[in-house]
Amino acid sequence: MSPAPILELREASFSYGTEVIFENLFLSVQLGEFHGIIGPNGAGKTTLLKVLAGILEPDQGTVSLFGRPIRDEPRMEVARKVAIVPQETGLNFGFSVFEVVLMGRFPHVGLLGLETDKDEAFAREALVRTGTEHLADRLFNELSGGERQLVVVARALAQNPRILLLDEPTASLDLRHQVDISRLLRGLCSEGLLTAVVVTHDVNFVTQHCTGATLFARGKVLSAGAPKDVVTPALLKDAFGVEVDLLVDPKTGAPVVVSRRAVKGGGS
Amino acid sequence: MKGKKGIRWVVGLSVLLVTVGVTCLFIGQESLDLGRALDSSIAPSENSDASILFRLRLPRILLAVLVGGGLSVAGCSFQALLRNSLATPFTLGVSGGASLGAVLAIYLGLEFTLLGLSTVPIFGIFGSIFSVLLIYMLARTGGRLPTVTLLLAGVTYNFFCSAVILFIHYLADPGQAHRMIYWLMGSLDVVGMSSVVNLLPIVLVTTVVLCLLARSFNVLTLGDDTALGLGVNVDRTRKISFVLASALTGSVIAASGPIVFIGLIVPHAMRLLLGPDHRTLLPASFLMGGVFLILCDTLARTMIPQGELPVGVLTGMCGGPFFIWLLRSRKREIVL
Repeated sequence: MSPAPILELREASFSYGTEVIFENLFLSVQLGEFHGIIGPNGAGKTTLLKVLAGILEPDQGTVSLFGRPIRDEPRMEVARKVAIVPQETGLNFGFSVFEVVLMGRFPHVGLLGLETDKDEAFAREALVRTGTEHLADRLFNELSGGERQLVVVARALAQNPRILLLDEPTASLDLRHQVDISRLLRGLCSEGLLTAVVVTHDVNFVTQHCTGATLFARGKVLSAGAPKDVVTPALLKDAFGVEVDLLVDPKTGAPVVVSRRAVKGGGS
Repeated sequence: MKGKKGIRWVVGLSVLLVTVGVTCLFIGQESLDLGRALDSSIAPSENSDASILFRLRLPRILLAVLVGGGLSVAGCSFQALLRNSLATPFTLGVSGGASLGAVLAIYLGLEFTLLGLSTVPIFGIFGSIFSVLLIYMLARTGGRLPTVTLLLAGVTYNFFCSAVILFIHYLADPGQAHRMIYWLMGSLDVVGMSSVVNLLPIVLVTTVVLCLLARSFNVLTLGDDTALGLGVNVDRTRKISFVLASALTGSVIAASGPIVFIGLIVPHAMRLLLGPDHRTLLPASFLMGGVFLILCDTLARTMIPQGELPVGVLTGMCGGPFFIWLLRSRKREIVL
């Protein structure tokens, strides 16, 4: 039914020393999808995202990017196709917002090159798309957490990737910034300009915005598919150890999860 | 636009360096007659002006450029690699290790040469590289390199080296002991060009390669994950730069003694003036380090009549207060 996935994990296992993070994992993301990976805190979502980005190599199994093993491609080549937005970006040096966003051009400019007007245009465009152009001349480390997150997304967009991987992108954002970010990502994905993968513990973010979802807990994929199929009370109870009720968003029909009470000994 | 501003700074500082260097050739306790110094009709053995110019002052000023520039580039690179403004050859234990190596070479009285270098520089270089590798491994926990642990390990290691140096100094005979103390104070007191010629290749190669890595340093300041996501081979870049900056520090310290604090003051001052872009910052730090050390050294050899202060004493006296000021003005950033 569906065409070949743009990003795929097959039979992948990863562990830090003796601590197994996941085993024999399958995951696939289609072109233009806005995919949410939901899981509880400490489930290894960040590790999973880094494996998908090719930053960490799985102990077993493969990550494929456009059908080719990611480990066979030079890092610079991967960086032209995949951008990653980490949960936290700290900076001890006084780079301006514009300079930080321009660093997104690194894989296109190369180690010894100089940024051209074209690179600066990409950076400006990314600032405009994320609504941060008024911050361009400010120092990055003087921004609020929410502004900083938007600028990091701009930095990733300046990288002009085909796939954007985001780690808890809305965790430090207020409602307004959450809406801005999710609308931006949804827009880019529906135009087919981008495929986005978000890892988050925020179930409602995924039901409201994502077009595909994976429920990930205890190192396993509990279910994958359309968000409404993945977010069932039984599955969420299994993943998070919480009894939930599902309401329905009257405008979109999307499920809204309301947690009721913790289940003894449940969750991961 | 940004690039042009950087180029203007580098050109301007180059002009400053040449101006300061040439001017300081003519400042000293002995007056110098340039006409006489360049007069080829006077026999070289009779021409004291030529001797002062070419065998004393010129080598000294060139050495100041290599030492001051080298320490500044090394300091700037360490700060970028560790994402911490307090990382310097001194706080990382590199200078302690180099000093211990050099003192050991003096004590053991070993005399051999390798690639044109005598034993004291060779031991200094190995001492510094060994120290950096040791500190790196000690502070590395679970694949991460917590900066606070790294700096504490470095400072502690420096104290340990100092203690061992004092112990060796106690065991040494008076002649060796005098050589050690003089070396430890740091001085650019050289005769003839051999120190400069020995030091030039390693300073040139390491500085050029570190400057070429400047774009990677910029990206590294955003964190390892971001740098990896942007295509930087973080592990390899960090290892190469660490070894280069340590070799640079070690060979410079071996030639001049541990002239501390330049690697801290100069990159910071340049960062305040120019911003953090390492493509401009690294070359600018090299040039400014040279200017600063020429000035300090000229002061050191002229301020006491008939005497000479080791330049390391002067840079230390300038650097100490600066370091305290830095700690106070940035204290909110330094989270322990």
